[in-house]
Order: sequence, then structure tokens, then C-alpha cells
Amino acid sequence: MLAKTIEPGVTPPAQPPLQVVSPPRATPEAIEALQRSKPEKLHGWAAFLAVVASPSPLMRWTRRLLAIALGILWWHLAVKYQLNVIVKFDNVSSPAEVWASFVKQLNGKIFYRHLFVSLQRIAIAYCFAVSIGIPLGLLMGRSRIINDFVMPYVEILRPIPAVAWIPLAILMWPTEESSILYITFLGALFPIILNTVAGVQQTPEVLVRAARSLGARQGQIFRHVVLPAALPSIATGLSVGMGVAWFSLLAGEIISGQYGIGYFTWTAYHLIKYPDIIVGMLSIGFLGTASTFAVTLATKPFLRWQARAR
Amino acid sequence: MSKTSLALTLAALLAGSALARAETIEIGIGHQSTVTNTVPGGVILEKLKLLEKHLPKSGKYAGAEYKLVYQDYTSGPPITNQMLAGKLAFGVMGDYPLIVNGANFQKSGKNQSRLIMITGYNLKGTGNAIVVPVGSSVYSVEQLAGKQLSTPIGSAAWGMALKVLRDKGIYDKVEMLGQSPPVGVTNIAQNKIDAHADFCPWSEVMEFRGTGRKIFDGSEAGIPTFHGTVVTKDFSDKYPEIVQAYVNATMEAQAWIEKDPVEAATKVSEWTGIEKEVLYLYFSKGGISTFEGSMKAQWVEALKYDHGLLAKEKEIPPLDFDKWVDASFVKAGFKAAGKDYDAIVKTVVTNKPDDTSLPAAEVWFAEGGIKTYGSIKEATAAVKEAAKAGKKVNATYVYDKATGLKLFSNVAFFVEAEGKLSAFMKKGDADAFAAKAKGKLVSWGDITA
Repeated sequence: MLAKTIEPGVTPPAQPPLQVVSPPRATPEAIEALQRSKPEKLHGWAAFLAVVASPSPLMRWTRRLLAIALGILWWHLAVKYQLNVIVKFDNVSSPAEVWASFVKQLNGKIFYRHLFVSLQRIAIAYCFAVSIGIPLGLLMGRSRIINDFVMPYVEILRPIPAVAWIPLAILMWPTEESSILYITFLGALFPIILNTVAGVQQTPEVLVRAARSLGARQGQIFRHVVLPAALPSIATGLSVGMGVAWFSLLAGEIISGQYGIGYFTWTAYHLIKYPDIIVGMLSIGFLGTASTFAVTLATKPFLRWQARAR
Repeated sequence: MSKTSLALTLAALLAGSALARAETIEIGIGHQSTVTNTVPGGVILEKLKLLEKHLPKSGKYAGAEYKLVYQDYTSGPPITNQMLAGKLAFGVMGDYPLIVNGANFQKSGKNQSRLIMITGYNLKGTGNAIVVPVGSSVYSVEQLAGKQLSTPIGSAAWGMALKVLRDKGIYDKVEMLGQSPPVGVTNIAQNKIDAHADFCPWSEVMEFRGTGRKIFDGSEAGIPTFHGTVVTKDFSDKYPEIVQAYVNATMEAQAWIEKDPVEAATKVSEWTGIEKEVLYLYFSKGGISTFEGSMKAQWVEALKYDHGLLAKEKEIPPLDFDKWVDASFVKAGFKAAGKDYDAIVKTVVTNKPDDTSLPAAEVWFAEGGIKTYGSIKEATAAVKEAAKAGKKVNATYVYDKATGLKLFSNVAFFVEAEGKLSAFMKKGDADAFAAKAKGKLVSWGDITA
């Protein structure tokens, strides 16, 4: 809201920007002076820039779309003129080629199956990661003993990339599907655990002591003080976890397959079909963004108390 | 040579030699050390430093420094990717990936690739095979109906699997999955997939390790399988002498394998980790592969067939074979070695049943090396004796009576009839022979116990 008041074009003349200083007496001369000081109507570039910089949601979306359009234009030109400055574009597919193969995929049935299978895997693996990661993180955050026993595993296993897990995942799990789910699950799990632990540990000790001195029991403190304090951090963990789950999924889907967007991309690589590779990459990007957004939306109600507190 | 072209050549030589003084020429070679048919074009060159021996050092190359970059991959497509990116000049890969390479280069409309030689072949297609877990109850392709078959998509094994499933009319009934060799081999060992189709030498590796059993050999599909080398046209136009050096060096590597297969198998095994017993199955006389570089009519025919399949199934772009296949280097290589290319290109080595020029069996003793036997009976006696003396036997090789294919004895089916032992790769053939000759089916375990 503050941003709006300093915007010259939209400041109502009767309301001075800051009310801290006592306003001058509203003599007719003063009003006239104020009116004269009102900025002139903007023309040309200045007007354009004012519109571009406008904070309205519509403008923000316009800017985002514009950014993507500019990116695609740049990509198109880079391919067209075969840009070769450090990075080479001479064999990269053009946006038009990628679009053509995208449309072709959309017209077939199999592409939807690839997307559906991947979304399903994400949903299952993510649910497991959430239902294990959050409770474990809460316990680790509150209990030093549990933390000492679990944290070494988290720290050692966390940096291992999903692809490195492939051979063992095949050996250990009974089916291909469970190997893929396991790799995806691991990707999501660690960010959720770590952010939950961090959230719990960030709970202001003052609040805990205050609650205790008011006679709250351990369970009540946990429910009414620690959990709400940890929620923002948990929400962050859930978003990050969703993102990591998607790129682990790609590694998992290399193992086997038939279906899945990661498998689709990998097969396209093996047949050197660059447009399809890019279709696969962008599909992963869009699905990843959409599901992270869904997570953000889903966690919003839990963070409402925080908005009120501000 | 006309006057102008002579003048141009001289000018180029002069300009070249002036440039060459400070020039470092990078030669990037993408190869697949674990894929047996490609080893002469990659890992052997690297380890025996054969390319260094043949690289030009005079004329425009006087004073030139060479930087050799060998990159090892487990399949062909990543090599094509590197070549398209301009990072590798040479790529050694199997028939199907070669086509994907040529077609994609041609589609790019810019740099092109050229198929310059063959590194190793099998006329009938052995090397590719369909394998089931060793304890499986599946003994033929027909029994795969309603089951899962995995294979590296876009590989020669995939092409073979497609053809055989179509031929047998069970294409719709088999669920086909994409799995790379390491994944498929693990799944067979873990009994997690019904069948896996793979290229050389994975089927034999699984047999040797005792985890898998062949139910279909590539030879039954009747399409040759081979590996070869592609080079980018930019590179071969700029440095034809280096391409020639590569071809000559690869021919030397091929001769090295033929001269002493045991030594070659032992060395390549040390370099790549593939069991030497498996490599010997490929390298030896009467073995699976022949390592000879000429560009035979059969190879071009097979490539055209493969391209048709790829175009139909996976929409691979068109390929102008007349431009893409360039036998000039390999011709010059044979000529330089004092061999008659025209005669060699028309001959092809292949296995035939009951080949009397080959011993009936070979036993590789851990100490003492390989000994040959005139009959399987004699070999079993030797193996029994070794067991009694506590001596280790690495492997025993026999030949399939139906096709003449060289096999590991531990996966063969044997028929005992009229006091003689005959070996078979497939149970069906063994059963038929046993019925005809009134013999009985026995296993290697039975006859060496």
C-alpha cells in the first residue's frame, strides 16, 4: 500500500503523501498551490514506462508474459542467425520446431499418458515424503537425542544425486515402479525434513517460556506455540521439496520404462530428437512450477495467522 | 592431376605447413569400450597408442601437435550428440545409432557425417539376442506373449526385437520397455523382468555370469549386425590424412585381435572390465565377430533396412546412403597394407554347422590357457580330470550343431546319442535332434559330474 501513495500519477491531490507532518491549513491559496504542484500528464516514453512499472496484477502478468515472449524471440533469433558466442545455437531446435513437435505430441494419445504417469508418481512419492518428513522434522527439532541419531543420515544422504541411486534402487526394491517412487521420494524428503527442523528450532524461546509459565503442558506448547512458529519454514520446505521431487523423478524414470515425461525425454535423447527433448524439458518445467504453485496455495491457509500478526 | 589442381594442392600444402608449425590439432574420438564390436576403433587404439603411430607428420602436418581425446560411452547416441555439438570428430557405434547419426547430421543441413569403415561384424546378426533369467520357464520367443521385454530403445537389439516380434505375430502381445544395458542386465539377474534384448556382448556376459539364458539369437532374425566409425565431414575435408591414419590404425587393431585372440581378450578385459572369457567368444576363430573393415554390399543393404524400420517406428529423418557411405578411406587402407580390397569386400566370414576346420570344443584352464579337443566327450573328460586335480576351468566353448554358433558350454543343451555328444543353443533344436537320433537330453552339469 505504501508503494501506491508515492506513485505520482495516482496520488489524490487532497491527500498529502505523509500525514506525520501536520498539514498546512487548507486555505484556498494552499489548495491552488497543491493543485499546481500536481504532476503534469505524462507523455511518450515516460507514460509508457509508468504503465509498464504499474504494480497492478494485470500489469504484472503482462510483464511476465512479455519476459517469456522476449526469451522466445531471443531464442528464435539466436537459432536463426546461428549465434556462436561461447554457447552455440547452430544445432539447437528453433521455437517453431519445438512448437510443431509439441502440437504433434498433443494430438497423439501417448503424451498424455506420459504426463499422467509422471504426475501420479510425483503425487505418491510426495505424499510419502510429506507424511514422513514433517513428523520426523518436528521430532528432530524438539528432541536433541532424535536429532543426533537422524541428522547424520540426513546430512550424508542428502548430497547424493538421484542418478547415483539408480543401481541400488533397482537392486533393493521389488518393482521398477517402487524404485522410481523411492528416488523421487528421496528428492522431496530432505528439503522437507531440514526446513521443518529449522522452523522448530527458530521458535522464539521467549514464547515457549511464556507459555510454560502460564501453565501450558508440553503437548500444548507444541500445538500452540512451536507448530505455528514452524509453519512458514515448513511451507518453504514443502515448496522446495516439490521442486526437487521433479528433478529426481527424471533420474528415476531413466531406469525403466515405458511411460513418464522423464522417460519420454530420455528416449528422445537416444533417438537424437532435439525438439522432443525440449518439449520434455519444458513439460517438466511447467508441471514442476504448477505443482509448486499448488503446494503454495495449499499451505496458504495455515499461514494466515502470520499475516494477521503483521 | 591437372595443372591448376596441382598448383592449388601445392599452395594448400605450403599454406598448411606455415600454419601447422604452431597448430595443435584436436582429434576427438567417441567410443564404447564395453561394446565388443567397437573396440578396434576405440579402446585398443587408445591403449596401444596405435593412432599416434599412423598420424601424419610431414607436409602440412610438419610440426603439428596432436591432442587425442578419447571419450568412452555405453551407447551410441551420446556420441552423436557430442559430434553434432562439434566436440568429437569420430564416433564408433552400432548399426542403428549410426543411422540416427547420419540422418540427424543430414537433417541439420550443415555439417554432415560420413560412414568410413566397419570395426566388427556378424553376418547373421549374432551379438544381439533376447535373454531370460536363467531360472525362467520361457524357452522360445512365442512364450513371451503377455510378458514384458526390455531393450535399449533405438539400439540394434531393439531393431532385432521389433522384427522378431512382428515376424512371430506377437508384437501386440508383448509389453516393450526401454532399458539401458546396465539396467536390463541387473533386472535379469534380479529376476525382475521377463526378458531383455541387448547388443554385444551383454547376452553372453549374462550367460557367462550364469544369470541369463538366450532364447533367441540375433542370427535367427537374419539381419547382419555390425559396428562402424562415422566422422564429421568438416573434419575429413580439413584433415583427410588424419582420417586415413585413423582407418589404418583401426585396421592394425583388427589385425592385432585376429593374430592372438587370447592375448587380445585378456588385455581388452583388463581395460574394460568385460570378462575375458566373453571377449574370447567374440574374438576367437569361429567366434561371434569378425573384425574387418571393408564396406560390404550386405552392410549397406542392412543399413537401408534398419533405416526403413527407424523411419517407420521413430520418424527418423531420411538419409542419402550414396553420400553418407564413404569407402574411399578403407579402400586406401587396404591398398596401403598390400591387400586386395575388391576381393575382400566380396568375402564374408560366417559360422556354419559342423565346421570341420574348427575344433569341437575348447577349454580355457585358469593355468595353462586354452586347449582344443576333437570331440565334446574329450573335453568333458579333460574338465572332469581338472576338477579332480583341483584345477580351475575358466570356460568351455562348444558349437551349436544347428547353426555353428560358438557357445559357452554351461548354457548349451547337450544330446547324447550313439555314444556321441552334440551341443545346441536352443532347447527346441536339442529336443528335435534327440527325438530324431533317439538320444537323450543332458546338461553340461550332468556330463562333467
